[in-house]
Amino acid sequence: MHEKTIKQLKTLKEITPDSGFVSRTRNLFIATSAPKRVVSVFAWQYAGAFAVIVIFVLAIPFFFMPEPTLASLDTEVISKEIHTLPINVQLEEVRYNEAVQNTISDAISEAANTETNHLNLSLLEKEGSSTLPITNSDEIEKNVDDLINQAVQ
Amino acid sequence: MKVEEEILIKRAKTGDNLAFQALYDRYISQIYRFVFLKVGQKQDAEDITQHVFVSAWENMSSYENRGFPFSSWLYRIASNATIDHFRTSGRTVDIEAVPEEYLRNDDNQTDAVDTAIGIETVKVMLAKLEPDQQNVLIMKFVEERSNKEIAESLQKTEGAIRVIQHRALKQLKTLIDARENY
Repeated sequence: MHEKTIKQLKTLKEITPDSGFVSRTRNLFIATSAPKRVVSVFAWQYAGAFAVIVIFVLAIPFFFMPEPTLASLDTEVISKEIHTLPINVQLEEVRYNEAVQNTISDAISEAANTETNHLNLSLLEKEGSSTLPITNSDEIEKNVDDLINQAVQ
Repeated sequence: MKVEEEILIKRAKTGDNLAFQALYDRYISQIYRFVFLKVGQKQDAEDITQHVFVSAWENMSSYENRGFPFSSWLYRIASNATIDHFRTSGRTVDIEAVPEEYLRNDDNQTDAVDTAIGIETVKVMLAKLEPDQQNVLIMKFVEERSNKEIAESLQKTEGAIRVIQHRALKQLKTLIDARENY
């Protein structure tokens, strides 16, 4: 079927290189020294294992380091932060105001209460009548001096 | 692979220039022909062929004998070199550069000219095929390589080589017939 085409293709075998080119190129291999085989010091098939070892060696210091505590998980730090939070300051103020409020309300209610003993008029009058008359202080001092002299003599 | 060739390869792998020269003498013509039919220019074919053998010499120590002829390795280097050539030069085979007088039917032409026309016509038509088709036809029918060796050289299966060969022959016949009837 393709005999003619194949026959035509076989005629191409008559193509030959120029003899000058052939000899010139051949001389290249006389002038060129033997290529040295490059011995690779790195075996690529062990690259994976080598990488694992390197990673392991680099990771060793992390195994022996004290376990770092994250600031967000340190209860001591968190406790300090909580105590310094503005809300605590406000709570203190609230407590103080509450105490002041209680004191004021107690004072007002006490002042308004006429049943209280020290504000009861009848009681005060009674206390006033039963009280000894206030003596002169000079007289008392004189009496004391007399008593002291008698004792000395 | 012949024993004699195996010995030459072993010696060349150790850096023996003379052994490599013997291999060079054995394969220079077919590699040059393969490259020339691909690139279509004598000067380019010489440059690329030289590059193929220099590369082979420089990489001789890495050559591994896998039971195929040494030429399979050379064909592979040559095939890659021609691909690189077209990629870097951006040129294609100038089929129109063939003198018109070679392509006319002229009863006064001598037999030698007939042969030259025949070669030139086939060469020009071959250049119109796909690179893989060119490779297969040259290696199979010009260099008379086995399908197994062609498959090894082109890194394809033998089945793929048979398919490429069938299509390439059919297409080449069509092209040549069309040219002859022109």
